[in-house]
Amino acid sequence: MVLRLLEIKEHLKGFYEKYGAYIRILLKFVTTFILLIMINSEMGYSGLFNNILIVAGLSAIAALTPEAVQILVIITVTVVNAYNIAPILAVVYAAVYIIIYLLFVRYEMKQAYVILAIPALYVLNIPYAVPILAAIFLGPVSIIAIVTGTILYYMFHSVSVIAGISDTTGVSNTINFFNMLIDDIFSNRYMVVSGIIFSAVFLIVYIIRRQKIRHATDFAIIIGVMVSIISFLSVSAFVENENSVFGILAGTVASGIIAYVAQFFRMSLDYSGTKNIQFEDDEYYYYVKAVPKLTVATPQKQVKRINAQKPTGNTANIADIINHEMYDRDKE
Amino acid sequence: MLSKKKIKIMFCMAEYEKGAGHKDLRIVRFYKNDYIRLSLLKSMVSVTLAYVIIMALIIMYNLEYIISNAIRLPYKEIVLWTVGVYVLLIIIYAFISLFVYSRKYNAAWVRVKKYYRYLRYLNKNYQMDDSETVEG
Repeated sequence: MVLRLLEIKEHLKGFYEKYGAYIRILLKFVTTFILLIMINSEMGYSGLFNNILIVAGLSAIAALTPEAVQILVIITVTVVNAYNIAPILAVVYAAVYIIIYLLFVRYEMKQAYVILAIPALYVLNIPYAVPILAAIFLGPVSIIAIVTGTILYYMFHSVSVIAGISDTTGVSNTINFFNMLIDDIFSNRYMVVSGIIFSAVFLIVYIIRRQKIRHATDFAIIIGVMVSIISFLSVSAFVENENSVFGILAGTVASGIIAYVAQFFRMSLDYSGTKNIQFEDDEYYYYVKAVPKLTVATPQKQVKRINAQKPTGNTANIADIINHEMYDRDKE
Repeated sequence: MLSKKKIKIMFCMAEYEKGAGHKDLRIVRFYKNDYIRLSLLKSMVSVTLAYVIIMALIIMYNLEYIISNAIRLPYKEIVLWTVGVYVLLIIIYAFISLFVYSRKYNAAWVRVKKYYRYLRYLNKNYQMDDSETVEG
């Protein structure tokens, strides 16, 4: 089973090395497309973004431009959606994003992905994967991103709840809406507890995976999943929330499996694949294409011995050769 | 003359220039102290802007209370608290920026040093090639 997985990993590595640039574009397109569809299904108050062609167009733009544009596209869609609920909400969303950028993300841009991953995976009921994955692939700063992402998710959640029950026309109603939103977010005890549990899981996984023991990361994932299950199940008994026991169990186990698979295929994603570089000196222009050498594992041949002959060649068992040689020497 | 080693080195350099080198070379244009000072200044502006936005949101949340109690509000205390929290935030972020940007500069400098070493090597090689052609 493990051999088969290793073989798949080698094949994937080879494939990625060959078509790395296209795969990255495709992945960016697919993630942006899914994220935008999810945003629209959760807070689809804008007719403009419910058009699948516009969503596909935005995803294509995000796929072909740098990472920052992808984040900007996603953020803009949430702000426009918020504007359709209440203009004040769009201002609040924009203000929150700017604060997060100025105080945190500008120091480490990739943390923006951790922040956005939590609300996105909450919709799929697997937010538990984020602290585990962040602990495996990123540094301790991610703890701030995880907490921020959790708050962001509960902000979106509160908006969809309050938008359903409140009237947002008129200035006083707008201010009321804003106050209701802030009250709802900060009175949400489950949000606070979730933030604490995610941080604890992150720290546990991070500390264990850095230990100098064999399979440290595998142990870290298993312990992280167990801590997550126990903590969320025990908290669910005391704090009011919408999650079912089955939902927590299935979500956490699925998160663990995702983390394990991501960790298993981690090495293959370290390669940047085929490179096309141009440069020049005084005499020549150079157009260099560097293609990594492929080392795809071939399936291991199993040699079945039909009769007990003296072993020859590389199919022999080393112990048999030694035994035969000792036997020959004794005879001499 | 074409040389395999020279092309390999030039490839590494061109790849670096295209990737991390683009940022690194911009960072090491400055002396370390100047770079950190400039980054600190940028951080201070960012923190100030973020603080203003946070204060605006707090005012919006308490707008009703502020309007109805505008005369009775303890302004001196509010100003003291606002300035106190701001100064604390600035100090915390000054330390964070100092740590983050000095690490960034050091990491960039290590990479750029290697790049310069390659550059010197190439330069020497080209000079040798030139002198050989002149002699020939």
